[in-house]
Amino acid sequence: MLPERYPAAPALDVEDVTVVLGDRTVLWDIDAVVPRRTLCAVVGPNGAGKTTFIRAVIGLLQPISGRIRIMGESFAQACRHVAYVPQRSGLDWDFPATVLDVATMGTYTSLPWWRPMGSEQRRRAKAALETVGLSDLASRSIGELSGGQQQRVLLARALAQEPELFLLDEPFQGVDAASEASILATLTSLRDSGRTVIVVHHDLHTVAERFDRAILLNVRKIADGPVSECMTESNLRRTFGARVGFDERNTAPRSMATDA
Amino acid sequence: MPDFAVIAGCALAGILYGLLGSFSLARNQALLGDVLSHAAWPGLVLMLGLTGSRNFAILGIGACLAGMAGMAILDLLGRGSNRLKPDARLALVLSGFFAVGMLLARPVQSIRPGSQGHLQAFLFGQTAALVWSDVMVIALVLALSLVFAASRWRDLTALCFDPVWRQTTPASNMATSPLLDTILVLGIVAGLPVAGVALVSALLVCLPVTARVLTKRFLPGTGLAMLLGGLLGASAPWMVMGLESLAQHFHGDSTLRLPTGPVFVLAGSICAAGALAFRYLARSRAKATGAINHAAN
Repeated sequence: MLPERYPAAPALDVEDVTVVLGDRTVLWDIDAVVPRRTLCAVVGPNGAGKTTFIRAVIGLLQPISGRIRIMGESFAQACRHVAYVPQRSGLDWDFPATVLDVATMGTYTSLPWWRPMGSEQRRRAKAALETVGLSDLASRSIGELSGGQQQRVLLARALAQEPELFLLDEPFQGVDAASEASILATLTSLRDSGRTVIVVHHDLHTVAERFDRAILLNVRKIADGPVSECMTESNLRRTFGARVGFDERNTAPRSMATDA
Repeated sequence: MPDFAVIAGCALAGILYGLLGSFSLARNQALLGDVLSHAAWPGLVLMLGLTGSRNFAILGIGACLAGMAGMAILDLLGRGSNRLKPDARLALVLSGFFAVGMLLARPVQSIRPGSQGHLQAFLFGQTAALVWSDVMVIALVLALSLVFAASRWRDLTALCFDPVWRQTTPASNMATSPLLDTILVLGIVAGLPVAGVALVSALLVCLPVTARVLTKRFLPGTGLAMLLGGLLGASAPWMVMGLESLAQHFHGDSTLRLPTGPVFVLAGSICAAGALAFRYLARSRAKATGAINHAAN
């Protein structure tokens, strides 16, 4: 199922992308490359255009200039290999559905409309719930879940899509520590199994420790590349202004969570 | 014995609104139906003025066109940099279109003598006057809605729960959302003879609300709303007959005639209130039991 038309193409290749919303330039001339089999964070202060960046990649926003390639193809061509995990807060959790129902939505794309859900779809949805540790809650209403559990359901839906590239928008916002650890572990194992994962993320500490690469954004791209190379003090200052504190080792930046 | 056309019309309308209302409620657009019925009103009045026809199939075309125009303006007001919040948009379209309809009604009544009662019937509904051609219109829209819902069920579910994510998946169909809106307009217009501009949207809300409280999944909930709509619709004419004979029994008044549409709507609202009360009691009881268990531990 891999789109091997361009086997050497990076998972994501963004060239000269500028996005304007209303009369505001939200992203200005962004270039970024995310190689395959990496765990990449998109980092920047509030209003830096991180969510806009993700939305442009998945075709929800049209850049006024530039080119976006996913595994060498346009989003329309590659979309069956891409899964998007939206911000939990944007959804209506009163919707009448069980945990398994939401995970099953990820398999909708694998069937034409006249074919009923088969055992393969059920297997995929259940396996996805198993991965995020929600098997016990499969028949629970989604309205009864905690924030962390809601986030894991959305991740399970993306897993059931069986994509090559995952794009997650702020998956750790308002999520308890146990869910955060579980989500991070899942993302890491996805990377280890050859998938590419791109995460919009606040907490600089976990980025430095757990991610392979980072894209530093503040309307313009400040830096991108391996974490060890691009998360330098001067790059972070240029991204966040003077608000970032550093710990005594002077390498790993402290969490932004208290700052934001 | 109530007229069979009335029973069939109410039952089919109930099934239709159980289905369409489930989508509206799930998309957090419960008020949209009310706006559309009011938006359809000037089209109906204008069509009556232009053609002089009493045929609902012809008047309905005008109502549909006006309803679509209302939908388009709602959409337009929500675009661009100076877009309005949804509640303001809904209120503007509802009152604006209705005002145009009321303005047109006066000259239309003088051009077409005798049309006043007819217009009134569409404003407040006149279920007892339902004829088979009205029922056929409802049946046609119901058939269309069922085919649409069955063939696009998964896409519709995704559209209701997470429209943004849905757009990023290859299975999403660009036409699903506008088609659903169009079918909603058709459904609202088809139901105007049953409950009228003022009440038709109440059915769109009370049936799915009841089902939502009693079920926890979308497909069974939609099925229950349709079942409930069909049962209430079929029994509404009988309820009217029962109430009228009660009135006769206690007051000796045999001239009292009750309107079927409002009885239908009221029965649906009582179901919704009953379901909500049931859930409230069940929850507070569960809470009390939980507290006792907690104390025992």
